[in-house]
Amino acid sequence: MGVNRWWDFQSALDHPATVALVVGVVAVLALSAALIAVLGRAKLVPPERHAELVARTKSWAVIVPLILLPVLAGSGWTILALALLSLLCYREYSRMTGLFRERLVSATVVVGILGLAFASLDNWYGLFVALVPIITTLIAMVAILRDHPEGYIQRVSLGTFGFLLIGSGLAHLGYLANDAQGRPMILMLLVCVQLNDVFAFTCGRLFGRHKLAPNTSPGKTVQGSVGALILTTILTAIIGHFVFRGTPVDTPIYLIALGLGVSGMGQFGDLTLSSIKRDVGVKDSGALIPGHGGLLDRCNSLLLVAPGFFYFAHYVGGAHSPLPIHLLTGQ
Amino acid sequence: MDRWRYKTARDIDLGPAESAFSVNRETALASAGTQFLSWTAIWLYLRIYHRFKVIGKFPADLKPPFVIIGNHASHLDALILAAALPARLRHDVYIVAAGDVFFASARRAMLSTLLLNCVPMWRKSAGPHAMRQLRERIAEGDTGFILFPEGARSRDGKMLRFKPGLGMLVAGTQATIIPCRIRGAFKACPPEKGMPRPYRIILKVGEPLRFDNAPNSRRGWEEVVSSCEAAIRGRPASPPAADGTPGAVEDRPGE
Repeated sequence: MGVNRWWDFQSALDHPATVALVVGVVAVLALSAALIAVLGRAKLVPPERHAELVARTKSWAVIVPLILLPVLAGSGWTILALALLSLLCYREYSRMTGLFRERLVSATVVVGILGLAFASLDNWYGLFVALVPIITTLIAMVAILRDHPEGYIQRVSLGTFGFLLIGSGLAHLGYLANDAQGRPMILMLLVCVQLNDVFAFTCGRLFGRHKLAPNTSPGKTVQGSVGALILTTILTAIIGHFVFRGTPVDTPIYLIALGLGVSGMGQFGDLTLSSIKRDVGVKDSGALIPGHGGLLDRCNSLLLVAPGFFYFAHYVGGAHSPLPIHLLTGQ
Repeated sequence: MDRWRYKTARDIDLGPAESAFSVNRETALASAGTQFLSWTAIWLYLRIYHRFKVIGKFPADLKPPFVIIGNHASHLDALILAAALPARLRHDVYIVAAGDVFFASARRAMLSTLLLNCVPMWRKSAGPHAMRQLRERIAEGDTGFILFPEGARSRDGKMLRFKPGLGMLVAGTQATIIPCRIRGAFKACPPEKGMPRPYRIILKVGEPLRFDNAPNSRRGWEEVVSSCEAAIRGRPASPPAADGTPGAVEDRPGE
């Protein structure tokens, strides 16, 4: 117990839901790769469409291990990987909005993200919660130091929003890793949020007629959104039944509420980033993944879901960590 | 509620590798951190090894856009100009460096950008286009550049004629030009020599110049170049040097 839990690869597959989710993800990836190969061989899709599908599958073949390995490797790896993701996402956000030119504000946000990682590693929930007002106050303070009142509200607001949306948002996913059911919960959330996007896209393609928010994101339709809401709720409820077995969450009402929350907040997270990009006037949040835009474009849906899921699991589910509190800083 | 204006990074569409080779690269927190460390080390090195001394001061109200120019006889020159800058300006300063030297390979480009904050100037190809991009950055008003208008290092320590590039960059813009004269760097670290030798280096910071009224044409460029060249060479009335060439900037070790 204790600090060893950060790196306890041995217990990776203790929870049956973890095994099922990992096998499911790998199987879906392998199946779709095989399907795309067959489609290409039989010339059922036009060559350029096939090349695009192959490129997508290849990038997924890289992304999936990058996500699965830290989660399976232990809570320490999960928290550190999410802190890194958070820093890279903040980099894109600050470059989009121009906040990166305010180095003191940006440095404060970075300190905040590292502080949240520390609090998560330490399992110090008090600090984890307190960091939000601490960093917000600090941002308001350091933004004065340049003695340049023009744009003060803008840099404080952009810094605070960036820290809350990206730093705090993703850190809640990391803090889940401290939980006894951390692995299956995180994997479940990632799978459901990702499939939520796929469902919305597919339902939109099949039944889409009415635009959802044409000014914010012209591709989205009401039918796609409702379809995703229904399908994701069913999926979340089924997976949730196995993940939360034996906890208070494992009732139909709570599972359906969880599903609706995951789908709705996932879609709002997507629209949040669309709104930011439209407001700033850029197409992609960055160019870190060649040909696929930025990292924020990939994980936008997670930003709002993660805190929602976290508080649901903690307050409704009564999930609790079996760890001694404060791994690093003592009692 | 009308005042907010977002200034997206100029290199938002470029991946990290492409951005390193672009004149539109922007320094952010991580690179500012590595540069802070390297500039501290460079300043200590110049101060201790070369007993570096600065005569004159950068104007107290100097802010971007500005261009700092100097005579060029050594690889140390860029380090000297940047090390002399007040810390508050260093974040906004990019060194315009020869692409064929400082960006010859990916590893060199990484070091040049992360440690020295260089942007590439490709001397053979893409000259006018790159000049236009740099000029746009100056016009947008948040950047300072360090550059050497001779376009190459002098091989004998005597200052070369200035290339018109400096004029193309600043004629008719709001940029402040700070002409600087470097002494001792040629003796300390001449081209084609390996390790720098511990000779004293002195930097003389000149009076600021502005060319906001100069036309952006060949005539304006010549005006810019000739007054900058005169400012660095010193007044024509300066006493003749030992070998009789009046007013030439020779690279003598410090007094």
